[in-house]
Amino acid sequence: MKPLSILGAAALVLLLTGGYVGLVASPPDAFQGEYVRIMYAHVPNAWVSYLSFGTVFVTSVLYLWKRRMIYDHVAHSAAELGVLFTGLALATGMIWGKPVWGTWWTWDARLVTTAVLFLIYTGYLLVRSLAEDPERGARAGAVIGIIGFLDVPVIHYSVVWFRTLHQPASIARGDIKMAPPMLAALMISLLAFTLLYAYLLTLRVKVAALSAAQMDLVAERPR
Amino acid sequence: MTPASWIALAYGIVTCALVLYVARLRRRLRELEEETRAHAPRVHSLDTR
Repeated sequence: MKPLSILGAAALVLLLTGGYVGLVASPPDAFQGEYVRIMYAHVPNAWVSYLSFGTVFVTSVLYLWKRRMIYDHVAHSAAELGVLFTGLALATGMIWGKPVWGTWWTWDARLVTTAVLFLIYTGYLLVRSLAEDPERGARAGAVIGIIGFLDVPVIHYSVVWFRTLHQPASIARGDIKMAPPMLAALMISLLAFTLLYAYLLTLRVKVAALSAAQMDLVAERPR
Repeated sequence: MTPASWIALAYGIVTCALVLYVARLRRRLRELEEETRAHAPRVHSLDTR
């Protein structure tokens, strides 16, 4: 079995375990009741979106510094994954918000800054797809990727800096405001999504590298 | 809608999106690998029989 298949299989097993623990084994919340189970799908998506844009930030800096295309392939791939997971975090957040808050959407600092992040990196993907010269696209992407990441700490601290409807972090340094069975369920889901992210990123980088190699081959072919 | 319906909606959207994305990536990777193999330089046999 290839290492990538092992990673994918491990992510799948953990996702199924996390799904079982989150949907069946963990208890309902004292205030939200059964709706709390949406948290095990919502928080891991938000976590992986941070992880994706963190990867975009680091590899974009490395690309501008070293000018090696592999860093650009990783940044581009991570940005695509980040948009996917931010979209899922927004969707699951809205589905959780409707029954618990009574509304799909509110102009709350956490929600708005997350939507802005989604738009920034959708713009990043648009710039990449419109660039005719891959190197110019990579340079422009790296700049957007670095500047766009500034929104991530704003999102994270928005619940501290502003009066928001969104609840503050339940897991902060040295302070866990969560019952142990719920914490265990959330940790399994977070680990499962982290492995899934590693699997998807590896797969997507392979696709990006092979596509670039094919484009080079076409460019070199005599006419 | 019951709590179970909201939970099913959230998990359903996440599952569908991830399954479709993984399937798309794997298909694209397979296509690219096949194209790369097709364009690879042919290695001729040195066996003269």
